[in-house]
Amino acid sequence: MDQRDEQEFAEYFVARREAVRRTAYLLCGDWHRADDFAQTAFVALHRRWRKIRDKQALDAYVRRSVVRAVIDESRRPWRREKFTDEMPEAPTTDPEIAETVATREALLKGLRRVPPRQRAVLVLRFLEGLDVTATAEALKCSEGTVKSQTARGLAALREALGDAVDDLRPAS
Amino acid sequence: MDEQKLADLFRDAAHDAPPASFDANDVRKASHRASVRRRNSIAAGTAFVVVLGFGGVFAANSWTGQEGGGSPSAASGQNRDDAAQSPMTPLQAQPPTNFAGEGKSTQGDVSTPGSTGTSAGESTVQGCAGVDRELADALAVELSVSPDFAEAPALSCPPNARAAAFKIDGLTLTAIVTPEPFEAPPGTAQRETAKGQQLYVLTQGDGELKGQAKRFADALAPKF
Repeated sequence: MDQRDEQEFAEYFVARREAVRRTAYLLCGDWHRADDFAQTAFVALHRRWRKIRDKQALDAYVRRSVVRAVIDESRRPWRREKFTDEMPEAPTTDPEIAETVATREALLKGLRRVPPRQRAVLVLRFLEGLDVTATAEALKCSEGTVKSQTARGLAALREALGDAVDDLRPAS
Repeated sequence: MDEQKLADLFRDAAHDAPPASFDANDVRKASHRASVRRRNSIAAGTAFVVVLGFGGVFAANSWTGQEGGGSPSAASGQNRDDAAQSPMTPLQAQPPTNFAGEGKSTQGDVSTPGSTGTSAGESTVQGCAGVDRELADALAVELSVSPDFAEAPALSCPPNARAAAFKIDGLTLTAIVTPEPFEAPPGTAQRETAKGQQLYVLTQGDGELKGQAKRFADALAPKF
């Protein structure tokens, strides 16, 4: 890449890195692995930077790379890290913070029990705020698939959470 | 829980992100490494294909060469060409050529020039341990059989002798050419060849040609 391309990539990287990391984190539930997935996606983007004519499609490309990396990883059980229920942080005594942390942990645990593809749809729709069309474009699938995966994903999340998060209802 | 509340939950869950463990420079380096790896793997793959192709061509040539070498006359012609174009000195070139007018014969008598008439593609074996192609060819003409059926004689003869034998209907006809006389088995027809060597022809066993050794000796003597 020439200097101008490198500059453009650096600007895009700075603007999007945290968002991509957060998406990867909700997809895999671990910040170290999330960084690995995010970096993998940015490396793939860097290698194809000159070939991507439509710069508006960059976000979709990176999202797709992250989701694909996470799903690929989930298909390799011998490479997958083992999750633990014990969190390393010390418990807090503040009831409000404790409730927030508990809710967050419940959501993360629930998301891990949702199948990877459905989890990706939920994360793109509710964390990234994408509509059905944009999600379908990012995942290279039909809008009908996105709708059905959303419904199934929410049902799976609701089942996994149980009473941990109050009155979780399917999104429309 | 509506979509907005769910979105808040998702955002909150990913809110406290630790500092990133990579920056744009890491991405740039990793991208470069991946490109180099890919280039190397393509180069290695191409080299492998080229080596495989050359190996295949070489193997095909070797196979074709072996097939062509199966014909005595073809081998003879090849040897003749090689001898004509060989950069070796005459002394070095002598042993493999061994053809009439091209060098001295090593068949039995190194001091006498060779006199191969018909196709003598294979190297000559001295003594009775092997078949002398020149003698086998000449004998095969007289017997009207293929020279490929020639066998090594079951006799002991001088080490500088040349010999060939044919087994026909239970009878073995053996011809031996030596520079000097030797004690041949009884019943052997002996003649002096055109070049002053000794020719011995004998028959062993029973068959149509029994007792006709003299006839073959008379026919072969002028040729050696």
